[in-house]
Amino acid sequence: MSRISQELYEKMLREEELSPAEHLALEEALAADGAWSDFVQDAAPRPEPSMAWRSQLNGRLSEIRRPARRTWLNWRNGAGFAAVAACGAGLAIVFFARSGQAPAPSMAEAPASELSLESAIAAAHRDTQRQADLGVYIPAQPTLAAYNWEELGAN
Amino acid sequence: MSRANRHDAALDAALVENARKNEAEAFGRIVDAYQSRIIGFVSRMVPTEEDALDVAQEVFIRAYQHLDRFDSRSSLRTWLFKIAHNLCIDRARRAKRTPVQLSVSAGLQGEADWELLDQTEGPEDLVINQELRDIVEEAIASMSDKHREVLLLHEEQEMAYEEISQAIKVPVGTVKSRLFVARAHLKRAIANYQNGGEA
Repeated sequence: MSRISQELYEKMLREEELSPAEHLALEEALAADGAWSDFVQDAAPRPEPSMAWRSQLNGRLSEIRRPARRTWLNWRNGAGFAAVAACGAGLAIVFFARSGQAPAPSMAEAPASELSLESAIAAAHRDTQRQADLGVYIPAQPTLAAYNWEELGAN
Repeated sequence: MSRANRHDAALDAALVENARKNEAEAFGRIVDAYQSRIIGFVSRMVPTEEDALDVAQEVFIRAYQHLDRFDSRSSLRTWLFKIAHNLCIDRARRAKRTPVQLSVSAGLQGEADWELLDQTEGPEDLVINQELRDIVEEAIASMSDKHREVLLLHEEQEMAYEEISQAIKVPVGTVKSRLFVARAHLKRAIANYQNGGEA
């Protein structure tokens, strides 16, 4: 063991602050002291845990299972809440933007001067389209009308 | 790093990351890697084997519960030994056990003691037999808690001074002082044994 002064040794026992020179002497003494790790590991081997110990630990760990990570859509999760709120806000903007557009006159509201066949068809289409967009109307599937072709031919 | 304590920091980081995703198997691998080291340390820090096994389990349970707090600034090993250190202190406090103090009179007392150490063989030259093992165990057990834990963390776990400083929350200089005193205590026991005296 590298020599240090008795005075320094007693200072270390009392855990007093060392001067830079004393600190240097300590560093040198520790460095010159040989490799104790292998000796201590060989002389004082560590015990191996038993299977029973490990099994008991596993049991305790399973009892205190940590809560699973919250998903991004979890309402209690800030990010999930923000995402849902953003979706809601987006839908609202689209809805109000559409409803804010100048509505095309329906047939009932259209001025008489505009009640041409073309404008009536266009207005009806827009009404139907708006209802379909809002999900309040499902266009009926076209059906084949039953005509009496002989009667039509007779006329 | 030595044979017994080789560990891969990258592997540790991956295990922690997987364990954080609630993968029990990944945490199980952390236990596999450290259980023997933790038990080895704790068994020399608490009075009975039963206490040691209980505290060692508690170390892993605390680690599992607080895995989210592990910030990777320290190594997984340092973090686990920090938990172990704190639990050993708590256990001693609850048991109202007075920490063993290494008094000045128990240390090296003069020129004769230093000369005895000078004549003692270095660790590389010592032939380890069962009798010497018993002497070493007894010497380690008779140290004060604070010297014993530094000796075990440095020599058995091969932790660097800075790592030990983080784990037990004392300055690096204090770690070095404690290590020197602990080695001197151990070496005096070995010297006495070699000279046929009392350990």
